[in-house]
Amino acid sequence: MPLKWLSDYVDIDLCIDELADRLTMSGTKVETVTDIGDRLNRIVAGKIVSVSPHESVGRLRVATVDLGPRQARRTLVTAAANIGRGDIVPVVLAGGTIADGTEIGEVDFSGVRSEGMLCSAKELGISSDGSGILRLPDDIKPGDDVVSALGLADTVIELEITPNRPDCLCMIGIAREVAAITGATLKMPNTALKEGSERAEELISVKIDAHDLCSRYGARVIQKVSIGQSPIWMQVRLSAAGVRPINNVVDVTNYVMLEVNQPLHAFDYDRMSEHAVIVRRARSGEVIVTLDGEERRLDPEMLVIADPGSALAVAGVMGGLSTEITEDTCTVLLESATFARQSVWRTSRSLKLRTEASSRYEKGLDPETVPLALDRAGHLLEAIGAGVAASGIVDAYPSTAAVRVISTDAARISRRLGVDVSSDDVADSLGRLGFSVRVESGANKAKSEGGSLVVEVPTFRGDVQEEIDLVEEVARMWGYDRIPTTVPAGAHVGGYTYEQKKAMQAKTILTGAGASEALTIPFMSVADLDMLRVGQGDPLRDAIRIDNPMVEEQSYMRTTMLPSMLVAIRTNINRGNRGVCLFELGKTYFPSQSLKRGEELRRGENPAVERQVLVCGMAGAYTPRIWHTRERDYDFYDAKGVLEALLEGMGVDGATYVQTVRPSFHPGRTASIVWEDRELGVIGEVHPDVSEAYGVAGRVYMFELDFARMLEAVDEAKSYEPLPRYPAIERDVAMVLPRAVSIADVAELIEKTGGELVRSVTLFDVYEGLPVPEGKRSIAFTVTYRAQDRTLTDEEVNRLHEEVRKALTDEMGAVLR
Amino acid sequence: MKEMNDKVEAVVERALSAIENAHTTAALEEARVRLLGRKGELTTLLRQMKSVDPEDRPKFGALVNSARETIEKELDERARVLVAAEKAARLELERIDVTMPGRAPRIGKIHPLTRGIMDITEIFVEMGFAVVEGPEVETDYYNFEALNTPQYHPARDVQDTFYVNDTVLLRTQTSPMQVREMEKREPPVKVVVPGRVYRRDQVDATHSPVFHQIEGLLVDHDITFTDLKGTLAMFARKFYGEERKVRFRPHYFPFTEPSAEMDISCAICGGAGCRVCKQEGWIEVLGCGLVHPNVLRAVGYDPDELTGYAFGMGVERLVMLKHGIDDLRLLYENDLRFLSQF
Ligand SMILES: [Zn+2]
Repeated sequence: MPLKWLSDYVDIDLCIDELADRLTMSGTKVETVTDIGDRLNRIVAGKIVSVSPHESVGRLRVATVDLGPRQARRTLVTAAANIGRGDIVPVVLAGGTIADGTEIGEVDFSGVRSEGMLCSAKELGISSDGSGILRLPDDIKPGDDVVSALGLADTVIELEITPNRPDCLCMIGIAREVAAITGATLKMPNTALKEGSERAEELISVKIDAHDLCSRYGARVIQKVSIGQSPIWMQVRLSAAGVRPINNVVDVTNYVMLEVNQPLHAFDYDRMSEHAVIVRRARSGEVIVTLDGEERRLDPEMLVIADPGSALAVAGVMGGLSTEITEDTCTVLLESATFARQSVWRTSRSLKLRTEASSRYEKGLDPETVPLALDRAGHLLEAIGAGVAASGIVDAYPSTAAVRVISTDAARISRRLGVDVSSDDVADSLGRLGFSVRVESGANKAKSEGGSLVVEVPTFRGDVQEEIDLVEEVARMWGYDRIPTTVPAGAHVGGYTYEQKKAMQAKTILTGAGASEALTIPFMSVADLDMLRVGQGDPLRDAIRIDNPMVEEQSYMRTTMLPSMLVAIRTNINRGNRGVCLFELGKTYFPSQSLKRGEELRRGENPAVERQVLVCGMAGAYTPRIWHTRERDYDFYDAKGVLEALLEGMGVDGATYVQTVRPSFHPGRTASIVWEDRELGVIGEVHPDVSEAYGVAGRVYMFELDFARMLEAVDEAKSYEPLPRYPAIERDVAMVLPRAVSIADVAELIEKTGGELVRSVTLFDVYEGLPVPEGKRSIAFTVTYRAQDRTLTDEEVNRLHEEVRKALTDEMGAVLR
Repeated sequence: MKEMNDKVEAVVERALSAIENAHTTAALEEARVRLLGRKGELTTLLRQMKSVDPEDRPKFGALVNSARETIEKELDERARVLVAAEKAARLELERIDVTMPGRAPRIGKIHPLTRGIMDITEIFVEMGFAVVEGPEVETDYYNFEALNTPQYHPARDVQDTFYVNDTVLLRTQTSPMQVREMEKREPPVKVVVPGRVYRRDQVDATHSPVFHQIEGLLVDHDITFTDLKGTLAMFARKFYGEERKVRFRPHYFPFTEPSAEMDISCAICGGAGCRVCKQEGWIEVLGCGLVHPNVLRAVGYDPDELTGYAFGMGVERLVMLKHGIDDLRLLYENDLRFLSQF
């Protein structure tokens, strides 16, 4: 938003920082403040006194330029052909700079010294036209500073306009805000017209066939059109606002759109059959070639502007090529209309065609601006000599939009804000923003439920729907910073849920056990399940698919935590971290029954079953190379150790580990984690094919726990067991057994045989290799015996221990050592 | 007698000298045996008792005993010194290099985002908020419709949404939990909701398709804008520090009215303007407002009876600001060299 342009509609007495701050604090956030044209330096107007061809270089011309009474004439060399005696042109003097910052010096062109440079519009940053020297208007005199004469130096503010305020997407809207916060007066643009004798309504007809999609359609006819460049001042302003100048008619439509936020479209009147405008739905399969040269296939959900023969434009989105304005255009039909924003939204998306016009229509426009925009455009076209407006406009506006009236009172507004605002404050704030506020008389006030103020909402404020919207308007005019702070009374008991507390506890235990917390993106793909060797028909394949994923690798919600953990491990290993131990407490997602069947969900129902799953993975070096410990890699028992520490710390007693086979895990190194016949999860070495597929070199160990199920196993009410009062007696037992006999089974037999006097059975040695025969291993336990009520005697323990040894030999075939 | 006297004295003198010359406990022990043992000089002297005049014998005995006492005392004294010296020498030999690294149990780290969520929610828990969580796979109704954001609403545009089907999506905000909690609870409702949210943003230094938000909601009788400001200003002081300034700017969210954004003064430049705050001196940290009456109506609350405020903040942004992290991607790569810094 160039400030010079803005100043046409409101006087700005504040310095830019103050203005920016006031706008920001009243809800129109200033994102950036940029000075433009500040690189232009030493550029003056010059009058060409003579032009002659360069003596030795044919394409160059040598001009003598008068720079006014205070400077000597200069000689300048140019390649441009569009200059002649008497032209006023911009001259960069030697030592000056042009828009892109290039410094211009004196240059020798084959014997002719150029004391500077003649500039094109491009070099001044006005437009992209670098084809010839810019010709300045006659009111600029030789020697004048071009930058100030053309207003090239300006301050441009970039604003964040929230989606509820489309009225602020234009000069008038911002000028109105500035006026409201500074107390200045809003000045509306000039719409005075000369108008020709012919009446517009005799030249064209307008018929709206789809009232639901078009509430107002206004048209004005411009005659005696001569297409050319728009004046420099207009080009300068459009450029500063970020719009490229094209020709006078198009520039005026853009200029008016930036002024009053009403897109205008210009049709070549002579190429419209019967000069009849029909606003209708597109026919199924109807085709139009739009201005960008693309052929567009339309459907009946879309609105078109048509003549009796064919569609001429996609309403609110883009015009058609057939009625494009060209150099030969003599008569122009200007369209100013209000289209249903939903329709434009849908059309522009289904055509994948977003334009300046469509993005404005999508936000909703004020139908009352339709004639204003037509009159303003007519005025400008006449003023710049681009044509003459025919008399009047054709305005199809079947049902005038009702003026919204909201009743309120200061007390109700005060109650929402928590500060006392008076009726006068309310009336003043709203009045400045263009609302009209009427105070109800005493008698009416008593009767009316609503309140003592009746507020008429201006049509450009479609966002103000009810009383609470007025509260915001009053609050932002009052100033959010002037509203004091309080802390709401009332005792509330807040806090974390049981699950949240346990989650934090689990994380604390795991970090204490050496694992760091990972957070991953919970997407996966079908390829992940293939890489995990998950079979067809496996429940893990019953995943929620995302309809519009960004990439195929992220097209499903994960049903297992393994893929993201494997990727995290790979990242670490690939980056040279020697060992990695990570955990994540995340979610897996399965479709609910209703979602699977495509049924409508009940209110409050969740579309997915979202399970909390704890995964922990480790790979690479368990210990770094360090002086006190031999270096070794992670193995299964490290993972199991972390798991055991976790379960112990969480208060889960009695978990057992049952050898099992799972597709993603090593067939001989995997266990199901079982608690009271329920599986809490799986632990094992990741199947080498899986880790290979994920690009992880070396072995990976992992466990996955269903967190909710684990919490069910937590014993929160542990009962105290008295500390032992009598001494324990330890006895060792060592034996050789086949490898296939599990340690758990041996320990169980010892406990069973020893009975309640056996307090613990601890495996203290395992040995395989010579001299132990192949397929067997030597194992050794310490058995601790203790009674609760007496001191055990040696004989008693010896007897019991002998029974244990006998049982091991008899029932397991152990060879005792 | 004089002769004997001299002999005793000579023995004592030699003994003291021998004791003094013993430099180890072993040498001293040797001296002790030589001086006081059965073949020791003093014992030998005592054997000469017979040759002493009987009259002088008691005197002589006393003399020898006194000499023995003197020697024993010296021996003990010297032993104490030598034992202490030898212990000191041994301890000196046991000197270790205390700068060598210890055998530390390996410790993992909590993810900085989790830490951030805990830090933020704890502040609200102290203010009496309950922490609740909700579904990430959500319905259009809860994510948009009930939050006063019907189809074609301009606000839907700024958040590109992942859809599962026409009515099911990945939540773009934690705000749907406002509605779910109000449906579930009797007022007053006072909750904060941390959780994952999803938007179709290309991954770059400040964007990720998945990120975290914390939502807050208080609905009760007579909740006003001053309450909103008071609660959030208190949060800002506790989370960012007493010295940071806070400001509220009008803004727009479909489900709050009036709406605001809260900024805090930039800690890097103190408000003067720098790269981190994009020269503004302020950093936007959260969006907030009074709960829109349409949201209250959607859950069957009477907006004339009940009012409330809501707020929401992006956790990644706050955590990045707090730790000076310049690339959001680091938060999801899980590189231990990054994680171990927190
Ligand atoms: Zn700063």
